Amino acid sequence: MSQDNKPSADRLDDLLAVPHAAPPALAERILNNLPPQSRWRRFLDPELPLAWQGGRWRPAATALASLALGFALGLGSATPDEDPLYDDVLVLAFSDSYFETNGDYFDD
Amino acid sequence: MSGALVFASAVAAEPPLSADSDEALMARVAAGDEQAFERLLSRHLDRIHHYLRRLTGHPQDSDDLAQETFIKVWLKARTFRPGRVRVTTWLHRIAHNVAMDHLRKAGRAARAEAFEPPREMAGPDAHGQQAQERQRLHDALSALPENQRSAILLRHQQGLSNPDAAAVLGVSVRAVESLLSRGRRRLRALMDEPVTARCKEQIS
Repeated sequence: MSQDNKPSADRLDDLLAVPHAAPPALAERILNNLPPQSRWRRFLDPELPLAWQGGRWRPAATALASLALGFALGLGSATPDEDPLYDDVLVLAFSDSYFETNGDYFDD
Repeated sequence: MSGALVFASAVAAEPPLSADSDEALMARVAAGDEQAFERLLSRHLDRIHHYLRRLTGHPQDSDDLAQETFIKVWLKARTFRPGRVRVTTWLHRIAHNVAMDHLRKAGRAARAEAFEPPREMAGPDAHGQQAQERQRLHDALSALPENQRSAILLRHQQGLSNPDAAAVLGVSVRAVESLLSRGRRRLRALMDEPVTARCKEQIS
């Protein structure tokens, strides 16, 4: 093979960048097989400005949603009347010192 | 600069979209507009099909993969991020991932067997010197590792820039340059090989 025929970058452009057409029926086949887009997804994605779509608001919204879910679950499951250890847990959680927490053991 | 300011300046820096731009069409596709999808399809199908055709080497596979690619575009349109990546790059990335998944499943032996010359080689000048050279190049391309073949096709067939090709392949720009350099060197070696030597290699 001559030097000119070796695939330099320009030569590759010439050889590879040739016109190409997909089969005529392919576009129709694709259009006929389009599944429906998810409705709930569209509901969750309001019509935001284009620059926002799929962008930076998503992580923040995800964090807020999980925080709200945590609060909801926490409020729903907090049943202090049914939990005999609830007061003890509160004392342990909010006391300032060991003696304040364990004072009973030293009071004679 | 605070994050809010960075965000505001990034949004402000984006040029206004014309109604017929790829980005505007993508926004309409994301909202479920089938006419916009049809327009996007007619604009990009040939190019994406060409890439898949050369990457897989099989006409039926490339039809199926092009269909899978555009169905993913339809379903995932909302995940497209205008301003961060161009629509053509995003489409090529989806097509590339679809093709790589397919090639991994198909296995290398089946792929080598399936490689057929593209349709454009069977034109009226099929016996001409350039057609023969194209055929040799096609054979050599089919022998390249997939990442080198992808880089060569994206750069020289699809006309993507190195940064765009890097975004499609999910690697750094330097990695693309390296893939291109090694790919061209390997192509040169393969095209210089006498046909008989290559036949022996294939038989063995």
